[in-house]
Parts: sequence; structure tokens; C-alpha cells
Amino acid sequence: MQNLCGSLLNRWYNAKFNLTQYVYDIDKQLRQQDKIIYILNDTISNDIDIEQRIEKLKQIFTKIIWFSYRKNIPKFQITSLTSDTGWGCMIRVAQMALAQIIRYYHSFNKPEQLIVLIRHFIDDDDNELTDFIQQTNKNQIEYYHAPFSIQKIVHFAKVELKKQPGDWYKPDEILQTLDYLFKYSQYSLNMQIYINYECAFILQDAIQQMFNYNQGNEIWLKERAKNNNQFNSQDYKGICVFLPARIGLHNTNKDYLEVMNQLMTLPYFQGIIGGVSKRALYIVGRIQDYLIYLDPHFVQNAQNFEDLSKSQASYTCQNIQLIHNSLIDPSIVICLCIRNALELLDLWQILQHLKQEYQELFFISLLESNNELQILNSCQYIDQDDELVNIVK
Amino acid sequence: MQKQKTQTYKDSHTLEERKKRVQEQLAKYPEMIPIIVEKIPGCKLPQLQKVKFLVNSSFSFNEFKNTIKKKLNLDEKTSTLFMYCGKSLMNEHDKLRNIYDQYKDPDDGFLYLQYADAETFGF
Repeated sequence: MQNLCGSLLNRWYNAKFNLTQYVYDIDKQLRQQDKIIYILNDTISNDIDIEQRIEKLKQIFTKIIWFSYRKNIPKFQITSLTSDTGWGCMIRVAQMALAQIIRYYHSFNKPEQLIVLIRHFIDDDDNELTDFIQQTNKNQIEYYHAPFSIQKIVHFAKVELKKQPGDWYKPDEILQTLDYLFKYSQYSLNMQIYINYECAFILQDAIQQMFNYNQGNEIWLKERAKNNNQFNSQDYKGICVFLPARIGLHNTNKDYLEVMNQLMTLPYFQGIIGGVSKRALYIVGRIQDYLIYLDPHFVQNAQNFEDLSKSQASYTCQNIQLIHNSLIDPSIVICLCIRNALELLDLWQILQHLKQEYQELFFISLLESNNELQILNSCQYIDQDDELVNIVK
Repeated sequence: MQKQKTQTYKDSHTLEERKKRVQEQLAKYPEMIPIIVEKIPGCKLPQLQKVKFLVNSSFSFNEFKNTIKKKLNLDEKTSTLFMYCGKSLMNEHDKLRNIYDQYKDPDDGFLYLQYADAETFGF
């Protein structure tokens, strides 16, 4: 009975996925929008004709590694679930964002490179989970072929975040998980993750992640950027930047959407982890106020390394979908990739410029340094017939 | 167990009551800011036990926010908590005094804040 329900559910998701392109006629919409297309760090300007622009968009879009729901996932170990249909979409979207940043940073385009990268996220991790559980108990770090597989994600989330398999995820929860798992990936040799959970970009923290230097500031960075070529490339790492934000209380705030639109035009932009109506989506670009996204809500069979080596077709999405930006959920994560000191300095200056232009509508706080925050002590006192919480230093 | 929808502070106190409360507090503690902190409907975070706060105006907003996080049993470093006043997301690193002057309620003088965390996605 459960299998029948599962199978019906899978079919419903897939039918819905396939229908969108007929109902919304994406191709027609793309053709009508005679405007600049922003896709990841690229800009497709309108000085070439519309057919060429759409062709270029399709080329870029289909290269993005797509993760969808999978069924027949083996060996979760801590649960009898064998599929993430109906609960794992935020996991899939965060996997897409991370894979995209890693792919971009290394300029991977050869099949063997892409296979190694996709394998990092593969759903059948060929028994690595057992090793992983054992070694995490011994506090040793080693590299795995599939450090970001859903099995390891779910295991970490259960142990550290008290999330049961099948629970839904908030963006910060999956980011925290991927951040933890990153050290088990060979890509941690030349990359780091920088997440700020307070909707702030702190230069000192970004410098710390990139250069492993904790006294950084703008002056230091300028000096460093000037001498960019003199330093050994082993000296610093590229950073995957994730900035969770909430651009509205119940619905998106139009003013904040305008700022979000600007952030999507940056040459460091690598997508937005977002969603609509509790369904997570990986937003990768925009045409004016329409957002281009990859939808994980499609069910495919889980693969192992052998399957993956034979064909990577199930990790490419042909289905370009659009949604008006006023419809998305206000809970988003801005994703960026910064490869070196020059780019970090440039980003810092662009953000400051945007802050000056948009003032309080620029929803990301910008700070040069990370001051230790005090935790304030509070005491209560009774005031007339009411109780007030009084906070004192 | 309350059967009705949770009332906001504004709903459950008249304008006169609220004005009077603010004036009393400001007279007694002129360097303190009176703040009401409530969660938005639909948010899965707990409701604060007491919603009224008096905070020293020299603190940064972020310090106040971290105190709220602690009261809600959220991890300071890795949890997301967004605080809004009306339609505006509060900038973390402003001084409370500046935020109060800009965003206080023009009728009663309280600073009304609403909090929400990030959304949960799964469907």
C-alpha cells in the first residue's frame, strides 16, 4: 500500500513537472521578454538576436548540475525511507547551489571532472555511510567520494540538529550541514565556505575564510589584491558565500526585490536558494522581474558511481522555468563565489556602493570587522500589575 | 490553553494604556528604550513569555537581537532570526537609539518588532 502511494506520488510530481512547460509556454515568454538575461555570473545582452540569446541561455542552463528527488535510495541506515520525494527539496536545491559554485570555481567542463563532482552528491554512496558514521565517532578527517550524499546529510542532521529523516529543512539547516561536511571533501583543499546567518557580510570573516588570517580589513585586502600575482596560489582559497535573508515578513517586499535584482547582476552571483509555497527552487537568473529556476520536484531513480560513469543525463535539466519574483517566498539565500583577493575587494566595494544607493533598503548589513558581542544580562521586576523584562548591561 | 487567536499587544491594550505605559517608563528610565517583541503568525518559533522590554539605548540592535535569540533557545551563531518593524528589516548594527527614533510608533511611543526565522521547505 505504501509502495502504491509512493509510486502515485512520484508520478504526480513528474506529471506536474512536465506540464509546466506546456501551461506556461516558457519558450514564448522568453521570446516576448526582449530584455537582458542574467544567468549566474553571466549576462546575455540584447545586442544579439532573440534566437541566439535563447540558444545561449539553454547552453548555460543545461550545464548546471541538476539534483532532483530520487527513489530507491539505499542504505539510509537510520530510517526505512528510500526516497526523498516530498521532503528533500531544500536538500536538493542546496546541493545544486554548492555543486554549481564548485564547478564554476574550477571551470570544470570535462566529463571526468563532472563525474567526480556529481559523485560528491550521489545518492547511492556505495557503503561510505558506514565508514562515515564510524570515523566521525573517532574524530578523524578523511576525504570521501560522496561527502554530500543525502545519507550523510540526513545522518548529520539527525545527530547534530535533531532532525528526523523525512523532516523538512530550513535553508540555514542544510547550509550548516553542508558546511560541516565540506571538510570531508577534497575540494576543501582549495575552497572554503563562508556563511553569515545574520544577513550580514563581514569582510574580516570573509578574509579569514579565504586567507586564514584573522586581522583582515579593507586596507589589508587592498595591499593583498595589489600583489595578487606574487603569491603562491596555495596561499589562499576560493570562497563559497551564502547569505540567508528574509526579504519580507509574509510576502516579498517590493523594495527588497529591487535590491535582490541588483545582486543577481553581480559577476560573482551563483544563484539563490529560494522557493515558493514551501517548495524549494534553485533560482539561477532573471529576465527583468521573471526569475529563471531549476526545479528539484521530479523523481528519478537513485544512481551509484557505476551508473553515473555511464551517463550523466539525469543531472541535466532541459526544463527552463520562470516565475515572477513577487511570488517567491521571502526566505532566500544569496549565493556567491569569490575566487581571489581582487574579486573580494571588488565585491566589497560594489556592496558598499549598493548600500549607499539603496540605504536602509539594502537588506544586507556590511561590516568591516567582527566585534565581539556582549550577551546582555536581564532581570525582571514587577511594575504595578504587569511584569516588565528589564535589560541592563 | 487559549482558544482564541493570540492577540497582539496593540490589540489587547488601548492606545491610552500604551501611551501611559511608555510615558511612565521614559520618565523613570530616560535612557531606556521601550520595545514590544512579538512573533509573526505562522512562525514556528516559540512566543516570548513576556513581550515588553526596556533596553539601554546605547546597545547595538544586534546585541539586543542576540539576547532575544538566547531567550528563544536559539544558537547565536548558526540560527537565523529576522526582526522587522512593519515592512522594514532591522539593520543589525545600528544603535538602538537611532532605530527607536526612526521606527517608533507615532501614536504610543513603543518600538514594535516582529520576528521570524527562515522558512521550512519540503513540499
